[in-house]
Amino acid sequence: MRINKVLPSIVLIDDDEVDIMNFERTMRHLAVVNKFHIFRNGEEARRAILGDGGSIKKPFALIVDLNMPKMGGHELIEALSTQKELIGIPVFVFTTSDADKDRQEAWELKVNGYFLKELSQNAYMQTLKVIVDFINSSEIPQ
Amino acid sequence: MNEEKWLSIKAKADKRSDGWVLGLIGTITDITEKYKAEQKVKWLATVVEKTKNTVIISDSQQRITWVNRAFEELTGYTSEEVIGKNPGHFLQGDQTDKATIRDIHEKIVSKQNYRGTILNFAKNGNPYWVQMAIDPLFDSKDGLEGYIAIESDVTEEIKAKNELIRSEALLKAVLNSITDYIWAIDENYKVTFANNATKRELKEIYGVDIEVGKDMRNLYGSKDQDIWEEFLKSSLTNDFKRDRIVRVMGDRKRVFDVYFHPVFELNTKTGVVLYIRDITDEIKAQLNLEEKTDQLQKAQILADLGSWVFDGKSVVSCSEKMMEWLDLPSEQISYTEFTNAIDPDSNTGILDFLLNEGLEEFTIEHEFEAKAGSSRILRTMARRSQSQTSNRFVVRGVSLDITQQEKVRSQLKEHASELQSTNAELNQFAYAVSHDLKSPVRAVYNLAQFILQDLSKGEEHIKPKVEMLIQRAQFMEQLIDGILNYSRAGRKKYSISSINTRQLIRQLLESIDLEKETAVSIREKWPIMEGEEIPFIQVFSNLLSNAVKYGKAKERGIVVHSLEDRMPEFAHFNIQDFGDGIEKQYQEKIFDIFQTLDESSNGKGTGIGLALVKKIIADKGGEIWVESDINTGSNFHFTWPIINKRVDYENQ
Repeated sequence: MRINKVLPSIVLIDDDEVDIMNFERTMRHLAVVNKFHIFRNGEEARRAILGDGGSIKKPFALIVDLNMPKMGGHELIEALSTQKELIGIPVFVFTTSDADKDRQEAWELKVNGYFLKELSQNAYMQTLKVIVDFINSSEIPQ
Repeated sequence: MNEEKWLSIKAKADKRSDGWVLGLIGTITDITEKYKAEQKVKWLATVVEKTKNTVIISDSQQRITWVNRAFEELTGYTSEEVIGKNPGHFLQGDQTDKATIRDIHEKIVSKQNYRGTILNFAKNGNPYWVQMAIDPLFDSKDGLEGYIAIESDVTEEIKAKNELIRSEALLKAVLNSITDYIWAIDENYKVTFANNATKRELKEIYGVDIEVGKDMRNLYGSKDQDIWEEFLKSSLTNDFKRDRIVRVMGDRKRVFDVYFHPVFELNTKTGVVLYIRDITDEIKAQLNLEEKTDQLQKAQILADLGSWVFDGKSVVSCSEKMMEWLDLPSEQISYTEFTNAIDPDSNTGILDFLLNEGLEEFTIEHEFEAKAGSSRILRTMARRSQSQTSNRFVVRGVSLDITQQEKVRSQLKEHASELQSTNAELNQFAYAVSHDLKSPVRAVYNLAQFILQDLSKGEEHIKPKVEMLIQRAQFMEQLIDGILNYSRAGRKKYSISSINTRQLIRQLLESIDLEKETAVSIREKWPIMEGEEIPFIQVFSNLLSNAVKYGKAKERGIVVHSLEDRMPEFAHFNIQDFGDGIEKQYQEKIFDIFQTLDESSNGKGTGIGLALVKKIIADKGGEIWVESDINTGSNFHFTWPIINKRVDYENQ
């Protein structure tokens, strides 16, 4: 690990309270040191990332759930992908949906990965570890 | 005696030497006889000169010595030209009958008379027929002095006679070549004429030869004797001109058309000409045709097929079915009547097709209203072809009633598209169910895991998780109930009853657990209408609960309106709250299943209620929509069909 490398913060967008709880507990368990921000819907996240007084600073990576009220995951990814300043920001889909149409749509939006929220705690943890390791190993625009 | 006498007086004067007349000396002779004879010759000469008959006088050597003026006029020769010539040498030609010439010659040589006709030629070559009388002339001592030939021009008579002979032959040939039977009898039943067909037929059937002069009554075989006698008798006695008779002749039953033409001589009926036509085959063919036509008509009726023919000029003949469909007064109508009936809006181009000889085929499917209230769809196919009986074109068309077919087809189409949308809905439903039912299950699983892991951490860590777990389990139950309701909605037909809407809303509001301060106002006139009450209650109670739940009911309450819809067969209601409102982009989405605007798990909605309401309303034929603005609240509108279109707005 390079000295002085700034660890990207992790932005989670998920509407389910229990899923958020699970995410936080697993991150703690994995002893992830990255800062993380949690939003309950796409609209809130979009405002935080793009808005003038946006609280999120680069470098960061997005972990997005798909099924959410108001702005869903796909919509959010699409809205962000048109923003020039967000080029190079890794986006991971993290969802319970294994519907083909959801996968297809996500990959068309050029996500960096599509992961299923496994029910078993162990599998869930493994998946999240892969995502976090990927984020931390990538050279993400500062 | 008073007799006139002609005298010839001759006298000589007796004179003196000095010239003095002493007297007359002479004779008187009675010349009456001589005068009369001379006078007669003079008259005869005048007659000969003036007569229209030609007169030729020749000497004993047959050299012409004199011709009269008529000769000159008929032949074109002058007497100077012909005197001294033998008449046979220049008057006769190649076509003159050689036997006649020989005959004349023999008679002349033997000093006999000749009487006969001969073809002569004028100077200009024109032929003419003469009837001539040649007589030898003798002197007082019976010596041959010459010949006199008196001829009269009979060209016209000969021509007329030849013409008569020719036309009679022609007539006979014509009558004999006709296969119909033509014969005539006089008043005594004697045959005066019979054409070949008659002769042949009678020979064939009865074995008799029919000849002019035979008694027609005796010609027939004994089998039909009576019938024929009666027939012959009536043909002579009655005046009718035409009859159709059916006779068994020989072994065959035959049908004849008989035409009678009475023959009159000086106003007395002297016989009858019969023209008999055997129409047995014609009648058979006609009957056959009628039968075929009848069969065709029946087949067309069975097949729901109509046919028509345009004669290319003015008239369209329609089959029975066609008349029924087009409500036509008769089978023959003018083409304009026809096109007006089949194409009342003049938008199929059928009139153009009928009149435009460049077009060969035509197919059109069109809907039209022939009689009031009987809309039909006909498929009409027409083809132009050369008429067999004239040099015009005719257009033959068939029409097929495809009303039923089209109805079935459109129903099928409708069903197919319904099925398609049902399938799509079902796919979406399955997808949504898989996600939305899975998530509370996952939550329950995770919470249970967290509780297990946190057992040692004490009650304050565990209790909220247990509460969440219970809440998720309840939510799942709501979801399942909702899904069941949704899947059942709209499928059932409920009984129709009278719905007093105002009263119904009051009862619903009482049953909803209103927070104490919630003010509800009910405005406008409310209908008492006929309709399905149960689904109507489902819709209204869902919308009212939503209004209470999402509206800030405590502060400003809710308002329920009844409006008159722009379509009279619908009632229109709206339920207004003054809650947070719904942003424009979500105003349609909220009616999709499992769509909520809140993050899951905060205990508010399953996302089924509005989807259920929409499904019910759509199934009844109504519509639902929302007018909303952030912070001013939402106004849900829906329309509901009024059965029997009976609505009384009661002002209460």
